[in-house]
Amino acid sequence: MSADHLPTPAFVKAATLAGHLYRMRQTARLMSLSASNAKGVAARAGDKALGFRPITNFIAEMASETILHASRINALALEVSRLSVAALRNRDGEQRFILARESLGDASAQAFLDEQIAQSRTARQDMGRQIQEIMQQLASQLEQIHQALRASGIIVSNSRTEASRAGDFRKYLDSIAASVEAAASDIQGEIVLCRRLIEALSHDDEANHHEQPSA
Amino acid sequence: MQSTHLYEKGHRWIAFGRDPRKPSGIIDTNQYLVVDGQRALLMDPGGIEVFSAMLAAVMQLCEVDKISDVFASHQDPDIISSLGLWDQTLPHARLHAPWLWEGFLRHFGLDHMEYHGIPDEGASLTLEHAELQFIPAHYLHASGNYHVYDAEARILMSGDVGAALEADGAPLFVEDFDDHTGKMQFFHQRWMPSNRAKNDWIQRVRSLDIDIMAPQHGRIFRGDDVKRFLDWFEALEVGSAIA
Ligand SMILES: [Fe+2]
Ligand SMILES: [Fe+2]
Repeated sequence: MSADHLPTPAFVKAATLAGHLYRMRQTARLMSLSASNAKGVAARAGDKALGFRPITNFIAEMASETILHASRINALALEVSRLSVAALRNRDGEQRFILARESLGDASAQAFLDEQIAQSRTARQDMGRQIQEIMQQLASQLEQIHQALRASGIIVSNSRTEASRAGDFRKYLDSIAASVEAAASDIQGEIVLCRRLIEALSHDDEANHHEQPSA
Repeated sequence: MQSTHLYEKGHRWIAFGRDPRKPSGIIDTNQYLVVDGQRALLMDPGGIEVFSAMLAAVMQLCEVDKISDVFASHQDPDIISSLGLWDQTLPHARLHAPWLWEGFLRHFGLDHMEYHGIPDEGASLTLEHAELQFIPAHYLHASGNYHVYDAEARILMSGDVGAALEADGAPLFVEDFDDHTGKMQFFHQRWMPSNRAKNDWIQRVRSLDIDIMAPQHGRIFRGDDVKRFLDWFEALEVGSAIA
């Protein structure tokens, strides 16, 4: 087969997903840092930033929710990648058992290989079930991140309003609002990519492919 | 799988290893990656058992499409038994490996990658700007064997030379050289077959400027520990299975 027309293996998609989630978590960490900076600035600004203080709590919460769910999905995605590799190796083994069976005339040897083929299928079906289960958890955790970020637009616009009232501290608070906005939009972008990968993965899990014995 | 940057100026060197999920009973390995702009070289990517963890760790740092080249210092399973899976992951990449081992390495499965046999005298590879040299290290321990030298980063990836047998989770860098020799002695005496090959390699490597020597097992040597290693290795008799 020409390398140009090769489909991306499921384990690569799952590892790509884990990579996006890793970056999502790093971005959420930056957001959390912005929240601590904002708290510091709000404390120094005193009365001028009274309205900003509760907003910093929202930012911190949004960041920590994202970190929590992204870490969980990252672990799940790694597990999907590991299981997909195992399923691929299992399937490769099965193909070889089938080839060996085809070249055999001896009935007892065939029975032995039939047993091997059946066992590898059972193991792979089991992997397939595990993958499907994990995929569902993955999708629901991703939605939780999406939910956590839904308020980010309002938080950012409230931050800007409060910043405009903060006198000398305005430029600090404005830059914090800008960094939260950038982080939220990065994470939203990653969510879109992750959804696409999850969708693609749910259509082609390695574990549910079976070779047909020709005998 | 943990990743550690060894060099980050223009291009990057990253070491991977100490995977807490590695199955027990298999020797721990260090894998290396050089990322240079839109191209990357993956070195001694490891065995089939660490493939999943390694792929995920690489993809946290570099898009998989960037990996244009893969290097295998020799044919051992801990170096490259994952080849069949990398071949599916990186169908467009080129595999740089000893010419001598081509017919053997293909047993791991190679349907898509292009095999670039490294000639006995060595070769070099330029990624975007970074120039990497494949330096001969024959009989250290495999009969066709190379190390990777980066003159700009002053890093020598030294394959099984400098390897140590350690408990899981050992630190990544050598802290106390004298103490460390105890973990290297058996490995070098038993796996390295030739004193002549060893001394020839030491003589060539002494002429290189090296800040970091990064082996495929055990800990990484920095600064003066590189010279200490060369002196220690020079004094060591290898090929110990023959009485
Ligand atoms: Fe080896
Ligand atoms: Fe090795």
